[in-house]
Amino acid sequence: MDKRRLGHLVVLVAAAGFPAVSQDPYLLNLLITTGIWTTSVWGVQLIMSTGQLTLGHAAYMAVGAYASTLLVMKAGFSFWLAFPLSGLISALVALLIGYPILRIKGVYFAIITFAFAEIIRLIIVNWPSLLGGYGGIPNIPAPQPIFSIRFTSRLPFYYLILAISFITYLVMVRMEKSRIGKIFSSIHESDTLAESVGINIMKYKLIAFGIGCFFAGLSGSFYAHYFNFTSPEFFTIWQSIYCLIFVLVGGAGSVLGPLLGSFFLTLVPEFLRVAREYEPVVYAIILILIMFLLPGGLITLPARLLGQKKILGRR
Amino acid sequence: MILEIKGVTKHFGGLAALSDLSFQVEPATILGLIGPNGAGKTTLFNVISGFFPPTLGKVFFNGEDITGLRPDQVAKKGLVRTFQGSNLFKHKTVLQNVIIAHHLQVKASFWQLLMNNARAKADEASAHKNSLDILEYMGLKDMKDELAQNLPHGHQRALGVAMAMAARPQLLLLDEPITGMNVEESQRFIELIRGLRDRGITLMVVEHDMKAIMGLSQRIVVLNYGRKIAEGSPQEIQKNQQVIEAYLGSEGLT
Repeated sequence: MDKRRLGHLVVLVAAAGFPAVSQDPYLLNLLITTGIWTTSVWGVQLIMSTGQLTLGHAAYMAVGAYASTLLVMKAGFSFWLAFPLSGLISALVALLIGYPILRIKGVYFAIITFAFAEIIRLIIVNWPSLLGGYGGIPNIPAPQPIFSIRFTSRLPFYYLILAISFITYLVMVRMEKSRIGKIFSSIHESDTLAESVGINIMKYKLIAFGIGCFFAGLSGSFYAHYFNFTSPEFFTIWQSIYCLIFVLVGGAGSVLGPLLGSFFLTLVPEFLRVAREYEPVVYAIILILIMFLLPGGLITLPARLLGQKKILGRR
Repeated sequence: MILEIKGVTKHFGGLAALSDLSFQVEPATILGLIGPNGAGKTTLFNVISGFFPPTLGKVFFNGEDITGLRPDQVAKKGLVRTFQGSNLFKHKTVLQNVIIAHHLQVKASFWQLLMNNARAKADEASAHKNSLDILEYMGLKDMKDELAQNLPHGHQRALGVAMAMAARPQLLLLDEPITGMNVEESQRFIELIRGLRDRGITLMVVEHDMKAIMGLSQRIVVLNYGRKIAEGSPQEIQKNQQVIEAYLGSEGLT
């Protein structure tokens, strides 16, 4: 078994075995939250791998959360069907929005993703009859029991998000190693060159955008049925910006980046016992430090410490 | 006639970069495109290869109207261009650059590529082998694992052409291929270009090195201020009064 597969197994076993060490609900909640963010942030990284900057990722989490909530509470679906459907619905919304705007380059594309995120949030806020308005939708049921596992405590949620994150990770790794990943990174490096050798850059950018938002939708769905509550306040521009910060701090150039970023930035404020209001300040300071000291993200730390030549991570 | 430019005009705002250009290119020949800086040569390449559409006029490739097609669609038809300067996938190796350029030869579908099944693996193996052949032809095989950004200038240009070759062009647009090369490199490159023509590829070459262009081309088209001011054999062009005037103040036509 090669080193990478062995690494996977070790981490998976460690994560799966963690509850044997501690089932402190506070800690479990922290880890579950990290898992939700990691899943979503992997989507951001995929989108960024084609050179696009998405400033509205949280909106697609919201689409997933609300879609899942409505499918379960209004249409009587089982969570287990609503969950993948929410991902698909988010992806569909992303494709509908992305198709007309993907021709737009750089900063302008980012601004429009931001604008659409705000539009989605405003739709949620201004449709109280269906979407609960500012107050959100309370009493969202937990996932229905499966394989006689009942979701009445934190532990089943922990294992569920662990499974979801792990599958997401495998998908991301598969993407990166395949020609698809090479196509994405060539579009990132030089889209005119990619076009000149026959790559349809619009198509692949859309694919990356759609898949990235699919995972946002999945994480949103899980979020709704774990917290039993969803609200537009959970999915504001701040959450979108946090998604970007998690990727950049962890390292945009490696699939492990979002995992590291999510962990680091979820745990550090906890250890510093930082009040909610000061969280953005902590994130800003960490981001600035990383940009100056470790531009490739935390993932480049081992190489730096070992005194190797500076590895310039792709941003 | 493999390529026909008919009445091509390109305006950028108030500026006419190209005005009513018309000419034809015969298959398996080399057409030289010359003119002072700013004459519109690269703009013409951009229009032909689909990077932007002309304001007026049409481009026909093998009798088919390709005006306004996307660059990747034009490449798929067999019309490939290279770039001035070094447009490469800088953080990838020489070999990886050429393998990616085999995009049009890949038969596997999106899902097959993602899952890396037998068909995807076969495509990859064939692209790998073909890339090595191309790199050998271009004299780059020894550097195959070098990062593209680390290549010396002349080799970067060669890599650009290698990538264009991976796209299996019938018509290749070379934008200043030997600019910035030393005498030895230029000579080798000129031989290479002739070799491509001998293999049946049609070439349209923009170059400032007059000796090279005169030596390589069967026909030459001369642009100035976006207009065609002369067309003919290298001998005819060298004697053309208007062309000489256009170049007055620069090296001359020797």
